Amino acid sequence: MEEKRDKNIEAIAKIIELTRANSLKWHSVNNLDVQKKSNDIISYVFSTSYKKKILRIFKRQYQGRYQDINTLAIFARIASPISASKKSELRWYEEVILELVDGKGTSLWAFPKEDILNDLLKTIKYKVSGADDLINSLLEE
Amino acid sequence: MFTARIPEINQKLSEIASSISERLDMFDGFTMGIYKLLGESEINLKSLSKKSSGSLKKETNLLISDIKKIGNRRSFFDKVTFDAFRKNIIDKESQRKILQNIYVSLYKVVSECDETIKDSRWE
Repeated sequence: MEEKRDKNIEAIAKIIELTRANSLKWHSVNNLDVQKKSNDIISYVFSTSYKKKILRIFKRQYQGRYQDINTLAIFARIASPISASKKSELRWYEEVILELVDGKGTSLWAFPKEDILNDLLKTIKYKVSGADDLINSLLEE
Repeated sequence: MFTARIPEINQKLSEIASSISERLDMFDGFTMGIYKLLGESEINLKSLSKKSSGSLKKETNLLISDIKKIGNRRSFFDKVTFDAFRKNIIDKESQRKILQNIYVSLYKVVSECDETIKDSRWE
């Protein structure tokens, strides 16, 4: 399990490296192509192909029950009835999803959730926006 | 074994890794900013190591050792490596690969720590 998790992180890190080196070219995709639950907000959808496989990445914002993993917060909830009511509150959460899709845009498999996916999306946005080209040309002037 | 500070430390490590990623996006050799991030990660990793056990502790200690090599604070070998960095004897591509390895290892620790946090909720 641990080995598989490490492999996933290494694979995502490799995708980031290929994106930085312009070996992987991402392009913006219509967010309507992503299947979603009714209240989800989908943004920053990008797609690329690598060795005949189509990769798609996007940010998903969704509503879920309040859950604070901080142990101190758990103690605080026990101690304070006001905080306890937060348990039933709906809150907005966000996650970055990287998945393999077929030619019609149907999701076939998604990478497990890892924090490093946020970096991949940031790097893609940095590249697609042309920010590095702009910075380099400004410095050359 | 498990303390309330672990999720907080892990969050900080994830933020440092994310900042390293931004530096890697426009990498131009080891700068003071990168050394500062490595220093911050070392402090947090040491704190995590004290509070953890098993494979998480082992992986954390290995990463601390790798970071120390770049920071010139462990052995003669580390000093040689550090001097090579400062004098740019190690080319930028090799420097980038060293930082990339530390970056990936940081996320492996963060991911393993996340699992430990999830498991602890069932204890």
